[in-house]
Amino acid sequence: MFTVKALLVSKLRYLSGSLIDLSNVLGRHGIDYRVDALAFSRRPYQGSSLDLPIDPSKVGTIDVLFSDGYCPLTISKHLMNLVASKGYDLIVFSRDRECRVIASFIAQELGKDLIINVVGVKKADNKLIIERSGFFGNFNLVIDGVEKPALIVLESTGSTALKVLGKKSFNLKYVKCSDGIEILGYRSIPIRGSVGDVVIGVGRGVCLDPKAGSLIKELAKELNATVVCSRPAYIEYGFKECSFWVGLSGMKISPKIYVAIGISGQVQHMVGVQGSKVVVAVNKDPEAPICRLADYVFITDLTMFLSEVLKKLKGSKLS
Amino acid sequence: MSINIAVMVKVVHDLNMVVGCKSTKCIYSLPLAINDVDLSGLALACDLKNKFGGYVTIYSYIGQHLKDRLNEVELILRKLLALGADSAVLIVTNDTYPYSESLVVKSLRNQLLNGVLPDLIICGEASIDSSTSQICPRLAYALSTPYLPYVKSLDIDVDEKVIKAESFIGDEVITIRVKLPAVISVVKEIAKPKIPTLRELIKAKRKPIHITNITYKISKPLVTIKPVEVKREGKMYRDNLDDMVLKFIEIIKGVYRESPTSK
Repeated sequence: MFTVKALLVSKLRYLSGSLIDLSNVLGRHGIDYRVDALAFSRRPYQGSSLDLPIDPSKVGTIDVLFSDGYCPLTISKHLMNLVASKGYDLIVFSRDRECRVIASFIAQELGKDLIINVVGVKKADNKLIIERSGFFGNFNLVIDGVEKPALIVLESTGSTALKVLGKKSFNLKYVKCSDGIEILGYRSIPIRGSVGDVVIGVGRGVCLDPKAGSLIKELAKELNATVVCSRPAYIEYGFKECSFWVGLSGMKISPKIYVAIGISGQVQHMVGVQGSKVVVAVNKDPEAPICRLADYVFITDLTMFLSEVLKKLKGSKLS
Repeated sequence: MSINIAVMVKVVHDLNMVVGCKSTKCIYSLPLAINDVDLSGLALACDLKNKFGGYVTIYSYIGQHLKDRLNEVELILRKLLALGADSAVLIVTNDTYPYSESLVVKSLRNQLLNGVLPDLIICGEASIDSSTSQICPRLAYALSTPYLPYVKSLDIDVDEKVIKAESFIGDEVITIRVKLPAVISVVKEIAKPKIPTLRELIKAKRKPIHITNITYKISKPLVTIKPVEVKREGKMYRDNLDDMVLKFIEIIKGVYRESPTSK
């Protein structure tokens, strides 16, 4: 059996989710793998081992780089040393923005293309066939004959609850930043890393309706759902209940059901929810693009609809 | 003191119309548009030029598959010139979609190093068709200049040639100060593109567009593009609120029946 030797590069907080994505994407094509990990962080980590959400026997060494600031160039140099010394088939980068910068530096240094949104990997002779999603998920691009090591960013497979399957100790290394940029300050933004089976998406339509916000909060509680936002709702309106924004420049999710409330359905948003099993849209505009992209569309006043749904849901058993 | 700025823009197929396309032929026949976040980058560049003086050059790159649509591409660039840029450089290559990032970066780097390196190089955070977010950091790496990603606000001290920027890197906003020249990628919210006036549109006709043809020896892996069938039920409910509420709950219950751990 072909065993892929992979190196996973991720921000420490996204390592578990990235390991699951790796396991899902490679597993889909029955590919066996062994993965080393290089995680980086600016926050101190208590302990000397990490919880693993995948079979621990598949995980080799884990290095954690603890840096004294934001320095993708410095981390890239450490990574280059690791890549040069080991013969990896795949270098897998997590989807987060910081890791994307590191991935680009490495790709430029190696003179290789970085293949993003990868949904499948196969072996062909001594090269790889890599399948990635493109054009807002409407097409897949099959790239045949990719030289090793292939540099890839995985499509999110919608990892939900993380089950701990084992523990692994890691090697901690301290890194002094030398990127030549002066950092004046950091401000954290609360972001939840994963979503559940049920996701409620909030769009501008909700933000414009003063009553709808509190009803969404109640509905999320009733359904045990994660609330995510379209980019305008997250950035322009700063909708409080949002875990993060979903779409082209945000997260991609694949829940069992995605309930889009007051979301118009611009492709930039829909690309982030394409993997949802069922898409339900609640919107007052029958001409909104989402009406062509959802499984079930409810054309109604948001506040009235949500109030009635909540009345019926309260006290009822869903399962 | 003034500031010279290069803005990277990508001409893309208007993917707002991609739904229903089942072939690459269909995608390639879609109308052309400018990558929307690049417009914000250009708006920022023009705001800075208006404030401090200087020069704004647009750089764009197209491949073989758009060669017979050169007139459309030029028309798009004219519109961008009407927004306040002073000149445009269009690189036309024998590359084809999906572009090789290595070749794009090589072409842009060579063009930028052809003259005096601009003080500031601006890209949009990602392109709507590929969303790789790679060109800007790779360009910075190739030019050995500092790179500030996902910039959401920017201050410049043109005398000291220093910029202070806030970067939105996902779960943190970081405030960074660097000496120019630098490469930055911007998020959509950084500046609002304006609508050009008729006078600006006429003026733009006289602004230069330099077209450079480059032929590369290309050895790319074979890429096959295949449609993904995402089948949606497409059922619409309206008018009767009670029926809609019951149907909605029935759909939700279906998910919980499949996955009892959801609640």
